[in-house]
Order: sequence, then C-alpha cells, then structure tokens
Amino acid sequence: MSKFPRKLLWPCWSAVAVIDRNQLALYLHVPFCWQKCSYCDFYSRPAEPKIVRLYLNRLAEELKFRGPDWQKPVTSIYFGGGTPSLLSPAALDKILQVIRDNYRLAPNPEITLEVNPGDLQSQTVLDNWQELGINRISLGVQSLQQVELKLLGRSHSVSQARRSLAFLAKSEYNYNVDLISALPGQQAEDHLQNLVEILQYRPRHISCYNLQLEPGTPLAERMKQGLLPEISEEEDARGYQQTRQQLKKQNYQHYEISNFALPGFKCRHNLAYWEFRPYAGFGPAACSFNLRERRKNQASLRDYLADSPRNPEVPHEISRLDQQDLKAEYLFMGFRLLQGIDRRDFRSFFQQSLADCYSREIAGLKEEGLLAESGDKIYLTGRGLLLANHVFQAFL
Amino acid sequence: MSTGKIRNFCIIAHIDHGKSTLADRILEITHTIEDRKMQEQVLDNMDLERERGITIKAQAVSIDYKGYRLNLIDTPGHVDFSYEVSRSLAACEGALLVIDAAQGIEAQTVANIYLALEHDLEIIPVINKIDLPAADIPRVKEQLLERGIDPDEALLASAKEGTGVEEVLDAVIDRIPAPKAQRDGPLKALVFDSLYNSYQGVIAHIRVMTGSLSRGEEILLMASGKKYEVDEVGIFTPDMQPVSCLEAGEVGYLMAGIKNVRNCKVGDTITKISSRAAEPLPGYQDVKPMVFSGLYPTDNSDYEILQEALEKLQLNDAAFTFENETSAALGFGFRCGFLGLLHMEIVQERLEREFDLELIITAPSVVYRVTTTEGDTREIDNPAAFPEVNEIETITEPYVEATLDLPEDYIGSVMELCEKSRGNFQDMTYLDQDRVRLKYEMPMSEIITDFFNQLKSKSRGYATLDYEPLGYRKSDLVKLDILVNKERVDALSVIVHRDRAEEIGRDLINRLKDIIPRKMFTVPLQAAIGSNVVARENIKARKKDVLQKCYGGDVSRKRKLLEKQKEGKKRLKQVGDVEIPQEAFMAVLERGGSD
Repeated sequence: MSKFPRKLLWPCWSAVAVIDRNQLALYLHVPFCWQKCSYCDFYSRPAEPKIVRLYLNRLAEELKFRGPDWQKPVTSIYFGGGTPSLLSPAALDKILQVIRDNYRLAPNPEITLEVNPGDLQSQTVLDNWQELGINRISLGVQSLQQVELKLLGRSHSVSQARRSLAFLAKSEYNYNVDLISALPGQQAEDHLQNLVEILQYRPRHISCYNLQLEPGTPLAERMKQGLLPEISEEEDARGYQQTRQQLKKQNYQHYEISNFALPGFKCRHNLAYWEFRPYAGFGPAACSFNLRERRKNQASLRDYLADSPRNPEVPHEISRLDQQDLKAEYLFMGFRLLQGIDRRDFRSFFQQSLADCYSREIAGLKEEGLLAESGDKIYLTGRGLLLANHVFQAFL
Repeated sequence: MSTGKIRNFCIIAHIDHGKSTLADRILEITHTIEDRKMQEQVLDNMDLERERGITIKAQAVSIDYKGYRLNLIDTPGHVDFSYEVSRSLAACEGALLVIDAAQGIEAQTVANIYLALEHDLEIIPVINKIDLPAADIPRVKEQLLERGIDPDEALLASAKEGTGVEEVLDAVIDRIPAPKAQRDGPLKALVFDSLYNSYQGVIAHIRVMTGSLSRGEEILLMASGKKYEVDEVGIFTPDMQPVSCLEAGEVGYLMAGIKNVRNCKVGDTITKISSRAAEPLPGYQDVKPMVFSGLYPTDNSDYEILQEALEKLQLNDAAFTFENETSAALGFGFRCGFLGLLHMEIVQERLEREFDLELIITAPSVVYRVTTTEGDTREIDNPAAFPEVNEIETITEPYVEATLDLPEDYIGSVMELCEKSRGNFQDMTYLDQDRVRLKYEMPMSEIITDFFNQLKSKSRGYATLDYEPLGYRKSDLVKLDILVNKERVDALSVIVHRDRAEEIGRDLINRLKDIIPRKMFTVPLQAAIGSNVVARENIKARKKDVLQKCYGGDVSRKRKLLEKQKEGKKRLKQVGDVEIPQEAFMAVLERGGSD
C-alpha cells in the first residue's frame, strides 16, 4: 500500500496577484556520487556504505531537530545531489518517514528524485520509487552524444540514458529531463539533435541549462589552458532560440529562462526559489530561506557528521539579508519566470511599491528593450531572456 | 686608510653575463658578508631588481682584502640609465669587463667600454662562465683584440663555481691604480647615486675626489645650490657603517637631512661652505625624461592617493617627473616623464605594488616640437594635445642612432623591421665572423613602440639594441584618432607617419575590436585623421549572458556571482557607454604585430 497517492493531479498553476507564501519546500542534499563530473563544483564524495549510514542518521537528526522551526505545509520535497538515486529504497523510505513524522505535509506534495540514468536500468527500480511515493523523477541525461558525455565526465553512457528514458516513457511518471547546452565547440545543431531525440520520449518537463564553467573544476581548467574549443555565444544564442521554437511547437510552455513544461507540469519545488517562497534544505551544503535570512549548511560531509550525536544542530552559517539584498534577490529570481513579477506581490511582500524602489532602473531596461510591462506584470522580453544578467545587475 | 691602499672599481657587463654573481662571489670570498646572510645577488636590493635580474639603482660596497680597501661600485645595466652609469664610472679608476664566454661581447657592453675608456679607467677583462659547454674563449679574445683590448690580459673565471675569483681580486689590486687624490685642498665629492627613505631622508652615495668630509661640517651642493649640515658619513660594508671622516679617494655615503633627491642629484658636486671649490666636477647633466605617458586611476576617487604616491616616488627618483593632466576620456590624471620604457615599467609596477593602485597608463610618447602657422614652436608630449591639422606648419621629432648587434642570419628580418620603423640605414660592420653591427638613424618614437620585443623575436633573442640621441628632425607626422562608439577617445590618439597612418589605424582597430569587451549593443570603432576616417570595424553586440542553474536554492551565491560580474565591469575605465581595459591603451604600441 502506497503511503502517498500514486498519481498526482494538481490544478494548473495560474498567475495570481499575490503569491501564497504560507507553504514550504523541502530540499534534501545527498552528497554522494559515483564519479565527479568535470563541470561540477557542488559538494559530493564517493558513496562508502559506512559513511552513507552515518549520513542518513545525521540527516534524520537534522530533520527532527529543525522541524519545529518549519511548520508551514510542505508542498514539495526534492532529493537533489550529488546522486540521490544511489540511495537504496530503504534509505529513501527512512528519510520520508522522518519527514512525515516531523513536518506538516500538504495534500499531494510533489516528491522529486534526481536520478542518474545509470541508476535506472530496470522497471523494478522505478516501481520501488513509485511505491515510496516519489512522484516525480528528474533524469540527468545532459546529452545523448557519447563525445559530449565524456567531455562532461558523466558516469553514464548514451545507451543507459536511452534505456532509462524508455522505462520512464512507458510509465505514467511525471518526469523531467536535464540537458546541458553551450558545450565547448558545440554547434546549435548538436544541441537540437539531443532535444529532438528527447522529445520522442515525451517528458513532462525539460530543463535546458547552459554549461556553467565553475572556476577550479577540471573542465574550467582545461578551457583556461586553451585545450578545448571556445564556447560560442552566437551558437548558444542561436541554439536557445531554436530550442524555444521547437518546444513551443510541441506544446511545451516556456515558463522559466531554462525550463519548459507540458501544461500542468511545472516544477513546483523549483518555483519556490523563483517565487521567493520559503524553503528548508537539509544535508551538507544545503540552503534554507525563511523570507528574512538565508542559512547554508557547511559543505563538507566531515563537518556535517562531526558533532553527532552530542549536538543535534549541524554546522551552518546564517546570513541575515537587508532589505536591499532581499529586493535584489526577489527581482533576479522573479524575473527568471517568463510571466515576470507582479507589482502587487512586490508591494505586499516589501510594503513598498516597485516604482518607489526601482522606477529609474525599470524605465532604463524598458528603453533598452530588455523588460516589458503589461498591467501589473513586468517581465523579460525575448531579448531580455538572452541578456538577463544585464537586467539582474541593474537591481544589485 | 692611505690613498695608496684604496682601489675604486666597477663591473661592466651585459645583462645575464654574470655581473651580480661575480659580485656575490667577491663578497663571499672576502668574508664581507657572512655566508648565512648571503642572499643571491646581494647588491640588487630592490625586489624588482632581483626579479628582473637587473640593477636599477647603483649600489656600492667597501671590501677589505689583503690590507687593501676595495670599493666596488655596481652600475645600472640598462640603456635608460646611461647617465647614471657614466657617473658611477667617474667615481672609479678601473673596471672589470665581464664577458659571457658563450655569448661574447654585446652591443651595450661595447658602449660601456667606450664610456670607461673615456673616463680613463683601467679595464680588466674577465671572461666568465668558462664552465659552460658553449664557452668559446678564443672567440671572445678575438673580439677583445678588435676593440683594442689586449686579450692576454683577460682573466678566466666561473663566478658560478667560484673559479678565478681570487685572481680577479688580485688583479684589481695590481692593475687598477690607486686614486690620484689630494687630501688637502677644498672638498669635491661626486654624488654617484642618491636614494631616499622615509626614516633617514636622502642617502647620497659619494666619491671624495679632493679634500675630506666629516660629520657636522656645512656643505653646499653646487648644482642645486642647496646647503646642509652633515649628520653622518660612512661606508657600505655593505650595511651602512658610520665613520668619522671620508677622505679623498674614498667611497661612502652622506646623510644631511636632505628631504628630496632633487636637491642632491646624481652627478652633483659636494663642497664645503667654509672652503668652497672654485669649480664643480665635470660631467653634471640635468637628466630630462625622454618618454611621457598619462597615468590615470581606474577609479576616479583614487586620484589623490595617486598624487601622493607619485610625490613619494619622486622623492627617490630625480629623473621622474609628473604634472596634472586632464583627459576628456579618462578624467583627472597625471602626465609623467620617464627616461625610457624600462623606467616607465618600473614606476608603474612600484605604484601598483607599493601603493596598491589600479592604473590606466596611456601609450608612451616622445616630445614633439610643433611649429604652428602662427610661427611659434611648442613642445608637445601628449598626442591628445596636438594642434589641429591646419594650425601645424612643421613637426620635428627626436631621432636616435640605434646600434644593433646580431648574428648575421637575422640581418634580413632585422633590417626589414628597421625599415618599417622608419630607420635610415647608416652602416653595417662585421664584429667577427658571424656577428654583425647595424647602425640606423631612427625616430625615438619608433623605439618606444614594441620595437625591442619585435627585435628580440625576429632574432630569437640574439640581437641587442643601444641608442643615443641625435637631436630633432622634421617628419611628416599626423595624429591618428580612435573613435569608440563615435566618440573620440583622446587617450588613444597616437602620432604616426602619414604614409603608414592607414595601415596602423586598420591594425589597431582590428586589435581593439578583440580587447574592448562586448556590449549590449554594437559598438563602432573608427580610426581617423582629422575628420577623415581611415579604418572602421564593429565590436559585435553581446548575444547571450544568463546565469544558469541555481543548485539547491543557493540564491546568495548567485547574487555574489552577479555582483562580481558587475564589479568586473567597474574595474575597467568607463568611457561614455563603453568600458575600456588597460590593454587597449597599450595596443597602440604594437605596430603590425600580426606578421
């Protein structure tokens, strides 16, 4: 008997004037990987069984200890990583049980598991996850070309990716596929080829992120040494436009700079970040936001485990945001959504009108053709989507 | 110490021929410095000098050896500082001529040999680095003979391994004459270097020629006309060690509460107020900067800090000048004068290192003399300040005689470079079987572009360059303006020969196109002479600039990334709507670097 409803049907999310922030998104960071990807600077380490056990105990402790601070209804749970799909079903079940025992769950919460294609090579695995109540899969395909996967240092192969896509397509799962574009030397057509093949599997949701060169990662180092062809801004822009067109034709809604969904399948969890809703993160390096301050757990697993079980609190840093920082973050997260931000929501959140704070900046960006306005909504134009950093920086 | 037991000498050598290493060995062997205090190349005590392996300021040290007092005066090794070299030589009776056994005698060394001979110095040739497999002693001896130096007198040494160093010291005693010095008579002391530090004020390095000098005496600097009371005299061991009196023939230092090196310039003569010398020592020159460029703080609010920094630097560098300058593009800054490019680089590095300033430095310029249609002549050291084309009657520019020594294999490409740099060929002589000397008359302005770098690259590093001023000559010059986004950027203007203006303009625009960061809009770049556009290009607009995934809600990290990107733009100089990086202002130096 499933502890969570197997199928999810939530109402198609509609643009409301003021966002309901009386809800909570939970993030669980699983800091283990089979191997480190060449572009990734997020915290992870090899999954030794003993360490994983310690981690699970510590995570349970943290969830219990911090529960009383976060008593809003939980509308989404997200297992991110790292590679959460390398946790056993029993481990995932244990975490979910602790959550159920210590947090208030809203009806039908979205529960997402990030999955490495290599971990989804049988129907049984998928059935197990479904049994646990996991109702959304985010599959890290990244590319369907072996050369590109190798460049990215991914542990899975193209055939593994196809196999896992096939299982998902056959199932009734709500699932997302992650693709990475703007690789060194990549032409717009290479990326399009990936996309066209992915579309045959009809995922409910597609994320197309640009490769981000994080300083210090092996890929960034190789770029710096000039060992790889350049990443062309022109190709990137061309690929992006073609991606938008292609997905629009296939009925996907472009709802965030890098995210596309079939009607009714936006990612509820990620919307919490963009809509400036509260979220609580658990595990090393996980971040939390309670609308006033941000908390970041220390990144290293060693530190995370160190004080257990004497001290239930895990090492972390708190930064209290002043109004200026809050406004800047509100805007650059909010503008990522294609529907933009709503003046009424800004006013209700900050008790100040947007015009009082930023009328000059907004007028300038409209002049430059980067922002547009319609009623109470202000949003990025097509050009603004391509040059979003320029818009974001105006509010810093 | 009696005059007969004193030897004053210097070391002449080309860069990397082992001058500093030989000096180090001499200090070691004579126990002037304890081994544990020994730092490689002790005499070069500025960080910059040690890093670049060159001596910028002269240094001196007194060595006691076999009952003699040997005063070693180190000399700067770069053409920018040839006047300072000449003053150091004037303080000596002899010179060690150090020659790399593998490299042979280089152009610059030859210039210094002639300088040494002019000062009647006894020259002791030392063939160094004889341990190198490529050492060719017979060839070096032949070169010596060609320059009128008896090769049989040459000593063989390997300063690195310590061989032959004692023989060198013995030769200093045996061959270099004791100073011919009158101990009585009015004081004449030569300032051969002048350093400032904030604790002790100016420390003058001096050689007493006649008379004597003690603490408490009142002195007059004959060129500057300033008077002081002596606080301390002493010798370098190499630390400063006070003595009661410096006598004729001796080398040491003087402190007298002097607050600025300008009041105690290299080459000045010190005498006593009580018994004044009738005439100063010969050879004093008021050295004038040859090369000028604009210095601007990247952040305009640093203007005052920069001014203070320049004032401090000037305390220690009499050849460096600066005055206020305003640029339409760059705002408030300073026009600074330098002896040459190396001097300029040194000043720039010191400002950035010691004062932590971010600077924009415009391309160096020589001083042009422009006669206007009105008939008056103006000296102009800034291309931006050139009169309009129709106001100019004639322009003259400083010329130099360039001496280039190189292996004959590179004659073709080096001559081509010289022609392109508006050189007039004068002479070619064979120094030996495969080494050639070229003489060209060239505009100084061409030398201060990247001529030296190109010379090195075209000769695989084997060519050397030395030059001497020849005076002003008339040239058909024009001002080439650069327009960024249709606005003239005065700090990018450059004076070029009319025949090459178009080519240089095209090349420059082409390089600026890649240096200036892309904007949200297309930025036109133009090169123009007056209102006549000779070249144009566009900097393409940015196509895509979007921060990506926000892993696990780490929003603050994203904010910091955005802030950093925004900050990065601020560090560049904002000119109109476009940010221009430092590189752009130096791009004008590289002429036709594409070939």
